Amino acid sequence: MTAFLASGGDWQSVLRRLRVDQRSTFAAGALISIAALVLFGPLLTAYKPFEQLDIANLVNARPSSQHLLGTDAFSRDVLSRVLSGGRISLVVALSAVFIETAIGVTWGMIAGLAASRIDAFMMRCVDAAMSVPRVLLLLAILATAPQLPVWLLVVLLGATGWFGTARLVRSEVRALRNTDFVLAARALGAESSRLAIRHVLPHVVGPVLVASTLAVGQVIVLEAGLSWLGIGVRPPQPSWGNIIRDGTEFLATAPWVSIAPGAFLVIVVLAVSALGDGLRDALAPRHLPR
Amino acid sequence: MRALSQRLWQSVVVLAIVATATFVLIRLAPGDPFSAALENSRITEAVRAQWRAAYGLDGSIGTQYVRWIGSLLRGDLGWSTSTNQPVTSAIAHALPHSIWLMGTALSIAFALGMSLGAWQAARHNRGVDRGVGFVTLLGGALPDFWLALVILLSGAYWLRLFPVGGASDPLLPTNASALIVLRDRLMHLVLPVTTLVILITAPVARQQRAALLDRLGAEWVRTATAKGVSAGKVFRRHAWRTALGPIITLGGLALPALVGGAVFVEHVFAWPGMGQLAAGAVASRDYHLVVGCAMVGALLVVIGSALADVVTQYLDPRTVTDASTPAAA
Repeated sequence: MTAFLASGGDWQSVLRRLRVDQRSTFAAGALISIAALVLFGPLLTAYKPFEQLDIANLVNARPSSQHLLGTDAFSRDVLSRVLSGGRISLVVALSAVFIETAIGVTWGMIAGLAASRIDAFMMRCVDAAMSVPRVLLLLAILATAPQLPVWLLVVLLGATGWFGTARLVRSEVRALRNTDFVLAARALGAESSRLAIRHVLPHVVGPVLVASTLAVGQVIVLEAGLSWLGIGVRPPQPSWGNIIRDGTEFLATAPWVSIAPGAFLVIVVLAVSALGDGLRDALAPRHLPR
Repeated sequence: MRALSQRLWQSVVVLAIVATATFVLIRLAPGDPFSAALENSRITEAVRAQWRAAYGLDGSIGTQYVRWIGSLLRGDLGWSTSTNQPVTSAIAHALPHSIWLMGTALSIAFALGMSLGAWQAARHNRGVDRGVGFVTLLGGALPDFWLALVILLSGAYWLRLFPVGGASDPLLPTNASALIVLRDRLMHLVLPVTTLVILITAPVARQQRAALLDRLGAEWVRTATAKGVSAGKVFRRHAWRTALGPIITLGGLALPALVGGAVFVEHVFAWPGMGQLAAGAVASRDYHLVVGCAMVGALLVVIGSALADVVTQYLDPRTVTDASTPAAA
């Protein structure tokens, strides 16, 4: 449970183990390449993501040397759209995870350090919230909002994703509560806030970092799903989800429009999960058989 | 006994919080069940008021809540405005479809995932382990709706082997033999179940592998090996059996997936299950149906975690004392 404690909070050795781990370095490499691609790619592509190139002859054109990923039903270049949409998808996911981590850590710390009655109530709320599927929670809010700014989508994604983190942090804090160093700090008269920030927080950073890394993968898929339903990132702004949506109608005749952004999604989520796994192992080197 | 009553009490509290929160939240969301009709300027205010009164949506949230609790105690979950039937019958229609789909998918995925995980653990760090490890990592990384689309495209369009959607063929003659009906049902099941199995197997296999590796490193396993117990027996009796706990917990957590866990997959394959019902209810502001679906979901959460605890305690009597601590601990 207090996995990070076992590693002694030694960040240098964590980083070293991470660098030795092939899987993690490969995943980090893939993520950096995709980040660079979506960041600088739109500057290099010959077409603009919104540009309708030739609505008479270039509708749903197959991938070719001119259009590496083909064109969509509006004769727009799919590659340019995927690269430009990737910016939105990645930024939305990263910011949403930042928000959910902040809320989850705060809630979990308060519950973990509070009196048992308050703790029980706070955790029952988390139980209740976790029993409603996140998709439906978001659907309830998003379904009738006609125009939704992207920042609000980020806030909503963050506000519906912190329950797991809260539970994780709370259980770590509960386990830390009676350790000697926390008791000593308390005996020396440390205030609750100081106790929380100076003595408890550093020890939950590890598990939270792992959870947040994995959460990036979940959120990016969730945002794509909502955009695919037409209620996440809305057109004309491309995102990986709504590019897949554009292609769904022509799935049988122009599958490349949906498959290309999906493949990017898979690579990013795969890399993020591998990195999360690697991070978890690096934080708590398990004693494996043989 | 005390633990049981405490458990029951906690479940009731969670259910009550879910019901109340959804009841209030869905009313706070913009729009109401008659949004589309109400935007029609030809419908007079009097007609609107009459509609609201007819469906019990007049008065403050407080009055509506008291009224709703009253009918709930009589076993009435209210009227579904979007599907135009009692909420109970809307759920009674969708739930069997969900159980049919999810039940099949969960059984296959757990059997497959546990075997794969055990296989990996038995050949830890060898080619098989790495290969399967990559496949499960990939399976966990696939976006559900996109995977469903790809499987729909390949199974129903390219291969033309399976129907594109729905749970059964509506054109099937009513006097068709049971065998034909069963075949039709199974054909409709293949693509959505394949999608779900790929998605669910990955985490099960990963969990099984991790739990087994943890147990294989334990001292009692070393003792058993030292005593001269055969490798196969050590694996089955000393490691695998004790590693069942995390898998059972995962199974308990998977039960609520019956509702809402498959919203996207149901959407792609036009499957008339709980996920679609709940999503439709939320989108059309069908207040009573939303609360009804949320309650079914919460009930499954409660049942799932209780079942997991009971089975875990049966397998490992040491955990019995833990029942007195809160479920979330």
